[in-house]
Amino acid sequence: MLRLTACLLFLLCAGASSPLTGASADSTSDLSTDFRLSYNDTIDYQSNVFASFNSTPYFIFTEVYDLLLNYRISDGGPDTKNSPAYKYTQSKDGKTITYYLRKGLRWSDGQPLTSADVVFSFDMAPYSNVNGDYTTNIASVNALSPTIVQLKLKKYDARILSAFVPIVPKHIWDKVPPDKITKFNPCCPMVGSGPFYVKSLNPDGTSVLMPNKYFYGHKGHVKRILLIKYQDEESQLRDIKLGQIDAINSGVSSWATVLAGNPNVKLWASPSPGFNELAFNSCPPQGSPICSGPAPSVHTKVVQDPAIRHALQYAINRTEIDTVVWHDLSGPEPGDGIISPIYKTKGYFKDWSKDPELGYNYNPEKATQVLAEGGWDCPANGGTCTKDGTKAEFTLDVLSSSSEDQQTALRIKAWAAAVGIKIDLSVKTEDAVNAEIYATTNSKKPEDKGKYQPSYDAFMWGWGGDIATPDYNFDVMKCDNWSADAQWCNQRFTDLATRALAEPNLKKRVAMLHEAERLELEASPYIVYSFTPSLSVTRMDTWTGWRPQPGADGQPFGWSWLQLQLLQPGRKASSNYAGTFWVIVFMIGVTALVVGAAIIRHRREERQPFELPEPPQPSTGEPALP
Amino acid sequence: MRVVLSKVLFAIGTLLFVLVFNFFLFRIAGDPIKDLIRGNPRLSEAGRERLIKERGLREGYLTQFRIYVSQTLHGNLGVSFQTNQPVSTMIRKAMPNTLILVGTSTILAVIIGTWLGIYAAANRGSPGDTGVVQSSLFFYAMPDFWAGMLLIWFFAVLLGLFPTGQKSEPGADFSTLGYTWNVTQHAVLPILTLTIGIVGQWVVIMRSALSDTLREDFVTTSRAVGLPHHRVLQHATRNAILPVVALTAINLGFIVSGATVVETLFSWPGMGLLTYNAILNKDYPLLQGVFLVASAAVILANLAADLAYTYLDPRVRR
Repeated sequence: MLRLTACLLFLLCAGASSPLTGASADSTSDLSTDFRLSYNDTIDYQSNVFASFNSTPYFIFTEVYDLLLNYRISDGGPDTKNSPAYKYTQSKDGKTITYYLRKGLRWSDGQPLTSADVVFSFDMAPYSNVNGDYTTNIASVNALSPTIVQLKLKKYDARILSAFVPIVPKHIWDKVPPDKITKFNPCCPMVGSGPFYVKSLNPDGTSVLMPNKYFYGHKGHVKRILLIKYQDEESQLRDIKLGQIDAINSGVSSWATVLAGNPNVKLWASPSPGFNELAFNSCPPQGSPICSGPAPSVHTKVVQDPAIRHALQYAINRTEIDTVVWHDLSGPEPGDGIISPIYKTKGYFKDWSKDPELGYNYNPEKATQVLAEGGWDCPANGGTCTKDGTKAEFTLDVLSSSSEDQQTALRIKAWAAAVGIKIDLSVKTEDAVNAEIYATTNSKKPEDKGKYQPSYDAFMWGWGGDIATPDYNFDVMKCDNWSADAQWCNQRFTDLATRALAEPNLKKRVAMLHEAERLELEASPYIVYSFTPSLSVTRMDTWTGWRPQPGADGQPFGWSWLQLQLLQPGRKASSNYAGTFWVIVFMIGVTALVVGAAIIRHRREERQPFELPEPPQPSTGEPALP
Repeated sequence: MRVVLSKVLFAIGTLLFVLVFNFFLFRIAGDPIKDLIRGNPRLSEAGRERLIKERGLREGYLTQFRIYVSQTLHGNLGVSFQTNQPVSTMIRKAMPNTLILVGTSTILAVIIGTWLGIYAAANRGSPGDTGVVQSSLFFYAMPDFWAGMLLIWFFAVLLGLFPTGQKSEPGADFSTLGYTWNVTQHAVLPILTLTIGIVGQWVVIMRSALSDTLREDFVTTSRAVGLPHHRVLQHATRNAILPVVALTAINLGFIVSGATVVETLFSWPGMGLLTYNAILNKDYPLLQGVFLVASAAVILANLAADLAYTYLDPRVRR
């Protein structure tokens, strides 16, 4: 017993002095300079900048790589103060751009960064799985000197200055042939020119980014970035409330309620470049460049009837969707156009709700009127409208993965029913919806080979967009875009969107985009019902001085490396669990309880008197066996 | 010998069936080409074609199947769509984590469950017996995620004794011993969650088998000749252990497939999590690899259980 007591005491002392913990207790003091960002998506393709498309790798790229001109904090425009290029000039026709690099730039491994690296990066972009379309207008990229690079364009390109073409170190990446560049593993260390380099990459655990000692820009207080993988959102929310992480790179709209009134944790909501839409099957019956016509099962007479679409535009209460489903996080402008309010500062955004003709504000009476004018006979006492024997009914596919879409769909169904349109909801996986949208045609005509024959009536989901310009939102609706989901084809819309991209005059360009947007609103292949908010969460005490980007309504990190460099350390964070000493005390306590119970039980058993079991009782009415 | 051979042949047949089934199962679930159209909207036409070609998706199903079988038989499980890493490397990394978690909890559940089952059978009808059986069934019926959340709330949030999740302290630099200790601390709650969730199986099986055995004549005889109670129990337990061995052997097979819910809840990077992420990301090569390994483990464990039964119970050989 004495020996047991001595052992226990020894273990307790050992626990108190924590020799076993290694870094566990010490780590508490290190954490004050760590920026601990949690994520729950995947670091795909080993964070290869030519292949990864998830949001966490993009955060890594922001910290590790530079663009020629990074995005400015105030408005997302070209930031010459915090970029490898300190100056650029553009010819009058906008087709020749000359970039001047800072002198003495170095990669994180100490090698010099020169114009040869820039030329290499642009040369590799067409082989990328993610940013190849930014460079299609580039005719040539030439190094005029080690610090001067010149881009020549085939035609003016409105988004070239903001093109996402990260500059990668040639001496690392030229080890693989261009067509294998998406398979290259750049880690570790992942060399870059930004304020950090990747020291270790663990997509299933914690990845570590360390400071680049050759970094040319503003020196910040963050000494280490820890990217911590979580699997479920609720765990992220719990741990940020406990102070175990500093930030979450994506959020859930329902957190607005949970975090309201918490002074230490903030949910940042800002309009994203994208939108959420209800898309109708708009493949013309005669076909288009990408589809041969809707499948026979489609309620074409309903979903392609302008009156049905316009009536639904009026029947949907966008304000209620924003308030109830998105907890007022999607911004003050109710969504209906395809240009998000995020482009407001650049003059692209137009609030169509004020347009007398196309301002589809919630108005059920107007919806009923539109249906009547469109020839639909709607019973006065409710019920489904009809036209030439066709009932106003169709199926709306909703993604099983989006609770917001499902909540919205239930409301849309009720609003539609109130004006005489019957919607059957069908909750499906993204795979199943994809299979209906991009169904291969059954047509045997040679001109239809390889085309789609979409078999859905309508579905709901959303598109993301580009940071700098709204052109991508138009791209997804062009006649010849094979990703187009509604498969609507309006040649004028396509021409306007294409010409706008090549228009150097901003005023004219905006006018073209608005005209194209008007065409979309008139035909309504999409009913845009909200602008998807970008959500992220930060603690406000462990790090302070957050700088949202672009502008005050932006996001606190992930747009440019300068955002983290400007952070100020706050109160010291802790790992929030007891560590070695109390764990040992707890474990010893549990062991002592179990062992004690076993000993007592054993002793009691030894003293238990012998008892014969009772003989089995014979069943009633039957004689007992002899 | 004939019995053993037939069982081994049956296991091989099942494994071959799984190999074939695996391939077609995931192709029925969705078309990876269609997913490439929408899954990565930034992907250009040329890039999409390149990916389709790289992944061999343009080939007919039969050609794809031939390549799949040939690669698998050569030990090559393919390359993950999501990470570009060999599937076998990813499985090799995840497997030890799962063995730590599910293996330890299974061992604990066997020990604790068997012990509680013996206690309940020896005290059949007593308040202790009722308490053990009812609480075991209660925890067995409780969803893992709920039990895990309660344990996190109590031990991690309220008492602050254990970390809420992860395999080790993020970013900490450990010595080997320090790392082992840190992983142990992180493993306590997930292991506890899994253990209390499955321990009921062993309690019920052991109690039932031992209760039957305790009514047998040899037990009465043992008592009559004056053997102490614990010795009688020892003899009876040995005779009642067969169903427990079978249950354990079958469960050993499932150790490899991981515990998706608990691994997700605690962000524990094991096989369950690997499967979960593969499903989310429609990573077909990874899914095929994980399912193949998990199925093979279950088939082998069943074979082991069959063989153990044959060895332990001579009646099976007849």
